[in-house]
Amino acid sequence: MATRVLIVDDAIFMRNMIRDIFANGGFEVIGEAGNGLEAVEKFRELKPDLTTMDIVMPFKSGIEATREIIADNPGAVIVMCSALGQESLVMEAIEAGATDFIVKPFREEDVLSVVRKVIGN
Amino acid sequence: MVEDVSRYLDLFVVDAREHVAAVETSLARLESCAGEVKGSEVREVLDECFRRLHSLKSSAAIMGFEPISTLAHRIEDVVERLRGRESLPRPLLEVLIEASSALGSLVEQSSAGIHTKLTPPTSVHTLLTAADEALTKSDTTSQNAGGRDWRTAAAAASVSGSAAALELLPPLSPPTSGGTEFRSPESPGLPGLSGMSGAPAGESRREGDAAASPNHPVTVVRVRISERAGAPLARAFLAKRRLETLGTVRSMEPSLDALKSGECSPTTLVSVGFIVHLDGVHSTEAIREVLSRLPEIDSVDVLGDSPLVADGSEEKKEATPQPEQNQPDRATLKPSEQTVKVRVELLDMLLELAGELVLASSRIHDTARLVPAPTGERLEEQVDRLRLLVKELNYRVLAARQSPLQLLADRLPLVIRELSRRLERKLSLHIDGADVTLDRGLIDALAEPLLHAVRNAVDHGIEPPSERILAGKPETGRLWLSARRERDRVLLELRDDGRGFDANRLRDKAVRAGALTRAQADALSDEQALRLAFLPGLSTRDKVNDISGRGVGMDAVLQVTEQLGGTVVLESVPGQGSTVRFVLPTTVSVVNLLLMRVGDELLGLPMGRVLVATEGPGQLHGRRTLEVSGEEIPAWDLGKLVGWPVHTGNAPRPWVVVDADGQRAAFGVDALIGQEEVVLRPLSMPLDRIRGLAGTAILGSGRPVFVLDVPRLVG
Repeated sequence: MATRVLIVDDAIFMRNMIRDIFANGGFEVIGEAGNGLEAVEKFRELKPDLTTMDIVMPFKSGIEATREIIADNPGAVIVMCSALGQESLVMEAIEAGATDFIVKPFREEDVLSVVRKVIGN
Repeated sequence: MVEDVSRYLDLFVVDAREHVAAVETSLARLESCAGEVKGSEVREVLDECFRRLHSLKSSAAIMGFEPISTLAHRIEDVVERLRGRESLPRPLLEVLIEASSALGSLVEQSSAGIHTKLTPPTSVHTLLTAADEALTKSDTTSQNAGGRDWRTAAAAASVSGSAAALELLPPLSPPTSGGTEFRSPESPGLPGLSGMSGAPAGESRREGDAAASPNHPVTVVRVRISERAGAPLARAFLAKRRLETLGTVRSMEPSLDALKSGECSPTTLVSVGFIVHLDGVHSTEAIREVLSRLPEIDSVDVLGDSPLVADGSEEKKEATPQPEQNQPDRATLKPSEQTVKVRVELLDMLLELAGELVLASSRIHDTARLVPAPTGERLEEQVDRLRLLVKELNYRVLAARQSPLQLLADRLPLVIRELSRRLERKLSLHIDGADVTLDRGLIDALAEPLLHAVRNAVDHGIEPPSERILAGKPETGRLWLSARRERDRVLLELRDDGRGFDANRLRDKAVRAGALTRAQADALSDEQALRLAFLPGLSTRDKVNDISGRGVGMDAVLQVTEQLGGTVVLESVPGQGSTVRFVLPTTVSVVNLLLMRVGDELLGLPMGRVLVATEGPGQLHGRRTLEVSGEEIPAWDLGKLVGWPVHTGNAPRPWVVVDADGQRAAFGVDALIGQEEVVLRPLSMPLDRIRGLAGTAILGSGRPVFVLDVPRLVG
């Protein structure tokens, strides 16, 4: 069964790009969220196998959302999408419970190799 | 600030070597006499040894070299007990010679640096304990027995080690492992890493220290981050957390703080890696297993498990072979620890060559990609290895050029005393952060501007004592010099609590000097007026004196600092004091660039300046700011800023948020291309007149790229 993915990013452009990457890689994208608040709701509703999470987003940051999701679902696999130069934010996210991270701008193969490694494929 | 003793290290080592040599020579002289040594000569030699050891003990303690002071103390104890005796039996003499030799080895180890973890000679301590016990025994049994018991014991001990001595000499207290320390085989060799360790400097165990149980094993793991990692610091951070699932991480080099603050070099994490001391013994497989799901890890090596404390039978497992042999070979220790003076120009040349090597290997790497598999793959792999080595070389040459600011700070107290005398001011100077390091070339070039700023602060800023008292200030004028590292820059601040710059006076001066009209001068804000102090020929001092009033001061300070790639900022609160802030690059040579496409051109931005790269609108539509994470940041179309064709189209595009010395700015670009480490070349005439350009660099592909100087671009 394909891995079910939730994509969280405030930029539609970014969401589209990540969705395409996952679709090409044989993953099943089951939902998208445009901010941290939505992310927490969507996660509750969909229980994805994997969540990609932007860090800087309106209403609720990816770090906050991660913290909340992990509090209820300690096993959740969350991969942060960080922009260049956000290393300290990434570390904060890891402390909040994020499983791993990818750095924008990224190439398709980078995303897939990180994600496959993380989920153990 | 705790006084930093590291600058006394060289002196200490010279001194300590002399002490040890004197002790060894004296003892050897006694040894060369046939038969048992007697009489006044013994007395003389022992007095000399006692004095030397006592002196060494104290200075080693001040320097924080506990194993040295402990061992010196123990030898001193034995010598002390022998002083009252008629003769010095030969086996005991041998113990003393061996012990001083071990002391010498420790001194040589210490010369590597103030944070060197010394490996104390367990067997020598055992011998000394045996000698001590035997002396006690012979004291209680017979004064004239000649120490037959201990002589046998010590002789046995020097032949077959401590175990024999222990057997022969009941009752014995356990061997004092005064200062037995864990020393990983890797830790001393990493440039720039020593001293960053999170481990306390003295992990040494004291006698009777209940908390330090024997055989507390530690596994030393080295992890290297892949060159492809987009965020190597965060990657290392995550790897360290994974390792923590196996056991407590005792220490990490570079330290966690260095990772979090961004002080640690990403290159180090790739070329050298980071090292973790993990509680407990773990197999290589177990360690690789916990890291197996982590991408962007280049290699995981288990450097061995090192017992923190070795008992007698496990001594051979100690990481360093020192100094278990009878004659520690000190000659083999010396070369790596000695220093050689090298001309800065030679280092420059090395750096340039190393930089060229980086570029050349990048080019080979790109070419290797064109070679078909399987040869191509193997070639690429080998070239990757070559690139890592070259990068490490580059890093080490850079590290060799780094010197502490202490070198500058050391000159100041003298200057302050002189100024205080000549200007009849009472002055105090507080220095903070003198251990921050800068490229040696920068330090030398900075001496003049800094000294000038100090003179200026005292001469123009600090009031005479009577005036200070009237103003309700302490009679003594205070100066603070502080340095701290912030990403790829060093902030050097000179603050005083004097009268501050007088903005009106600067306006008047500028008008009188014909630099501004009255109206122009009055239109300036106070902050802008302060910058007038940097105008050539302007001095707020009415009378020229030989301290700082010739008006060739602050403009020269600014000019020199800008040449070094830095800036100077003045801040002042009238009546309360002023601050001169130097913002300096730590090194001028190798930078990690973010490459961006603007129109058809490539531009590079030093990564140290980049705060965030984000998606944003294609056009600003007349707005001058961009909202990033809920904050309005001044924004520019980068193409427009550098005079290239302006970006058209409304599709979202990348925006790079940069730090322009405390002020943030966002640049809209057409595309982000990637990162590359390059050697920054300064611009030659007349290109160096272009504001906003820091230099040029040649990419691995051979393509030249302009590197932006962020603060001056938006300033």
